[in-house]
Amino acid sequence: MNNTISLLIGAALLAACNAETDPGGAAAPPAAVAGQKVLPASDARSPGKPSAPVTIRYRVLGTPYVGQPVAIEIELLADGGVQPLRLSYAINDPDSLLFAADEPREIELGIDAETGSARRQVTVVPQREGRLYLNVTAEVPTEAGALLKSMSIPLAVGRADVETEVNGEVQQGPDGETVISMPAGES
Amino acid sequence: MMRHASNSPRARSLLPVVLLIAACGGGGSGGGNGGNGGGNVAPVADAGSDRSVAELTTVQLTGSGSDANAGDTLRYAWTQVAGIPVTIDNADRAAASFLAPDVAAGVPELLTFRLTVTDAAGLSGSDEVDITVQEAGAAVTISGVASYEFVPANPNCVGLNYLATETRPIRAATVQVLDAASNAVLAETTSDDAGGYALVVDPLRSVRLRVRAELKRSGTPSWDVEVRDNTLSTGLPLGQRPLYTLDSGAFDSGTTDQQRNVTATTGWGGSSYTGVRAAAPFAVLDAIYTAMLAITGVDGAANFAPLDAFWSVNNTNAQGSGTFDENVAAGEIGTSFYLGSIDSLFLLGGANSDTEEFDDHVIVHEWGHYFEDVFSRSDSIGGPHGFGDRLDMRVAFGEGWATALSGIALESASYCDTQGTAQANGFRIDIESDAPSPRGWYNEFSVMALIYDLWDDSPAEITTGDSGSIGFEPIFRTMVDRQRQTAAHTSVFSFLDGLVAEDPASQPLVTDLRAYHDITGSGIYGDGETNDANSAEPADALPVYTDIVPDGTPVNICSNREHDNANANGNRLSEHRFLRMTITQPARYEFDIVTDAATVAQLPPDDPADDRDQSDPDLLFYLDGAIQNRVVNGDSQGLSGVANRETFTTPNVLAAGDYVMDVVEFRHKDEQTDRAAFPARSCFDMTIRPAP
Repeated sequence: MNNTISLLIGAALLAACNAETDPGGAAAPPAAVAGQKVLPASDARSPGKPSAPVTIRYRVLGTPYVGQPVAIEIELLADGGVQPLRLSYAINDPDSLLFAADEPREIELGIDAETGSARRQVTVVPQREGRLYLNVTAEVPTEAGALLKSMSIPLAVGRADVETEVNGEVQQGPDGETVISMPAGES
Repeated sequence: MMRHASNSPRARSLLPVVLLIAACGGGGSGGGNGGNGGGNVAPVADAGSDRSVAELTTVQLTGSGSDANAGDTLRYAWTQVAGIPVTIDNADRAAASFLAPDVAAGVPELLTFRLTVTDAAGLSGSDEVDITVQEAGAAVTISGVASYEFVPANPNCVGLNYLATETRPIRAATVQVLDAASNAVLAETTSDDAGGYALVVDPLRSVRLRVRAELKRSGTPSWDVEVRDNTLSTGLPLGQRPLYTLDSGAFDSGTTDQQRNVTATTGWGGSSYTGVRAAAPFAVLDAIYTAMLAITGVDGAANFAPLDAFWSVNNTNAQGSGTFDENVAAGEIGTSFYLGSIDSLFLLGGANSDTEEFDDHVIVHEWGHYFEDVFSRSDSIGGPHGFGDRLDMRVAFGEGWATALSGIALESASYCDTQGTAQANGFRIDIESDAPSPRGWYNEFSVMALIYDLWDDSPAEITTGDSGSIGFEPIFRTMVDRQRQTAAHTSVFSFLDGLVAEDPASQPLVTDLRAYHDITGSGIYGDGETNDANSAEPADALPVYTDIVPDGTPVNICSNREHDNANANGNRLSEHRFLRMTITQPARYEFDIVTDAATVAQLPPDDPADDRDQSDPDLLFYLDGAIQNRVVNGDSQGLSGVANRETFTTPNVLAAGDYVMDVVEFRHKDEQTDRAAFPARSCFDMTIRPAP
C-alpha cells in the first residue's frame, strides 16, 4: 500500500484467549469484583453507538500457530428473543489468515430459546506470525430492518507485536510538535 | 552552451567556474564517469530545480544522489561555480545552505552551484543549479480553497457509495504557510465556511501550505478541537499524539499573488484504500463543527471545552485485552465512544471492519455525550445496548439524546452506520420513526424519536405523536439548565418535566408524544408511570422510584435481571432500582440493606471463603446528581461486598434535601458469578434511620 509504513510496537503477547465479550463500550478497565468495587466516576465512558440487539463473544480454542488450523468458537447472545440471525466472517488480509477449506463465510443461526444464545465454530489458518484479525458480523432482523453488530477477533500468533500503519508521514516540527503529514491534492 | 554533468538529469550551460574541491577520493567530477571494468557505475546527482530567491535570506540547496550499485556509500560536495561568492554551509551534505547576498534593485544576480556525488570507488556524478537572487519586493498573497472529499452512504445505508464522492469545504480549520525547508510557520489563518483562506507572505520564498485538522477559536464562542492518531508516538501522552495535517508540496511564493487549492482525498483506489486517507480526519472535524454550529445557533455565547478526537486507520472494533492505555495505543478500542475523564472521542477507522469518518451521525452521537458531559449532565451507567433493549432509564435517555442530537444537528433523520469489507455493508436507523415496541421510558429509541420529533417541523404525523415543533432552543435550554440540576436521576422524566417548565408552550406536543411513546409518569420522578415493559415481574419495574422514609420504616425492593441476557450487561430495566427520600433533619444516617429471607433461601449456605454464590446488594445515593457515598478507611461505603448485606453509617451529616438512591444486586453483572445458578431476582429489606 502506498505511503504506509508498518511499525512494530512491543505489545503483550497473548496466549489462547479465554472468553472475550462484546464490550459495548470497549477498552475499559476490567469489571470490579466483590471487595474491589469503587465509586463510579461522574465523567465515565459512553456506552458506544446504537447497534443490533446481540452480544458477540468468542473463544480461541487452542494456541494459534503458523500453518496450523485453529478453531474459534463464536457465541451470539440475543436480546429479547431475536430469531434468526445471520453470521458472516471476513478476513482483511489473505496474506495473514485464510479460512479452512470449505469453511462457509456466512451462515444463518437460530437462537436457543432456553439459553438465548447460538454458538458456531469457524476455523482459520494463520499464514504468518503477528496479531491477525478475523472480522465477524451478526445481522439481526428487527422492526427497523436488518441491524448489524461487528467485531474483530484478534489472534496472537507467535510474536504478536501490534503492527501499526501510518496514514501519511510522521514529522517533527521546529517547535517539537509531532504531526502526521498527509499529501494534498493540489490545483 | 552545454554544461556537462556526468549522469546529470538535465543539460546545462557552461560558464566560467571557480572550482572548490572538497575532500574526495579518486575519480573526476563534472566529467563522464562511466562504469568501470568491475561493474560499478557512477552515481547520479540532482542539485534541485533552478529558482529565484530574495536577497539576504537563507537559501536551501536541496540535492540528492542515487546509485545503481546497492549499498554504495555516497559522499556529497557542493561548490559554487558562478556568481557573487558566498559561503556554503554544510557543503559536504546533500542539504546545504547559504546566505543570499545583497543585490542592487532591479539587478538580479545569478549564482550557480554544483553538487558532486562520489561513491566509494571514486566514481562521481554532478549536477548544477542556478539560483537567481533578487531584491525582496512586496509581500504576496497566497489564497485558495481547502476542501476534503466526503463519501456518502447509499440511500439505505448499506455501504459507502464511493462513486458519489463529493467535495466539501474544510471549514474553520487552521491554514498555514510554512517555510518549505524548516517548516517554520510564516503565516496563519482560519479557513472560512467556504474553505477559503488568504495568507500574506514574503516573495520568492520556498514555502508549502498546511491545513491542520483542528478547530481553534478564542473569544465567544470558543472552541478547541484537534483530530489526532492515538496509535502513533505512543510514548507521548494522548493529548500530544500526532495531529493530522494536510500538506502541499513546496512551491515558490513568487512575486505576484497566486491561488493554491488543496484537497484532502479519500485514498480510495476503486476497490480498496490504496493511498493516504487524508479526507478522514477532516470529515471527522467537519462533523464536529456541524454539531457545534447547532449549539451556537441557539447560544452564541457557548464556550466549548477542549476536545480531542482520536481517529486512526488502526482503530478497530477488536476488544483489547490489556490496560486501557495499551488497548488505545494498539487501536483495539472495541467501538467508538466518548471518554469524559479526558474529554476525548475515540472513533473507529479500520478499513474493511468498521469506519466512522463518513458516518457523521455516529460521530455526532458520540459528540452528544461530550455535550452532556460539558454542558449538561448524564447519570448513565453505560454498558452495551441495542435495538429493542429495555434499558435502565438513565442509559435509555443518554443514548436516545445522543442519537436525536445527531439527527437535529445534521438535519437528517437517517442515521447510517456503514461497515464491513470495502465498507460495503451497514444499517440505517430512522431517527424519527424507528422506535420498536414496546415503546416507553426505558427504550432509547423512544427517547430518540421523541426528542427528534420535538424539534422537527415536518408535516404533522399525529399517529406518531408528532403534532408540532418547538425547535432546538427549548431542548438545549432544558439540557443545560434543568436537566443538569435535576434532583432525580437524568431520564426522560426529568427531561420532559424540565422542558415543560422551560417552555410551557411545548405542553401539547409533549402530551401527544408521551401518549404515543406510552410514557405516563409525571414529574422528574415519573410518578404514576404505568408502562412496565411487559415485565414478567411488573413490581420490579414500577414504580420508577420507591419512597423510603428515613425513620427506620422498612421497604422491600427487588433487583431483577429478567431483561438482561447471559452477557450480564447490568444496565437493563429492573436491575437498578431507584428510591427517593427526603431528609428534613440534618444528621448522620445509618443505611441497612439485607437480602430478604426468600432470596437467601434460594442460595447455598454461605461459605465465608467464597461469597460469589451469595447476594451482594450495592447502594449509591445522590443529592442533586452528586454522589454522596464516602470512602472510609479505603472502602467505598455502599459497595462493601459483604454477603447478603450492605450497611454503613455516613461519617458526615447529611444536609436536608431530596435524595435518590440506586440499589442493585451486584451478582447480576459480576463476571465471577455463576449466573446460571444465581437467582434472577434478589429482594432486599431496606431501612434508613438517623444514626444513634
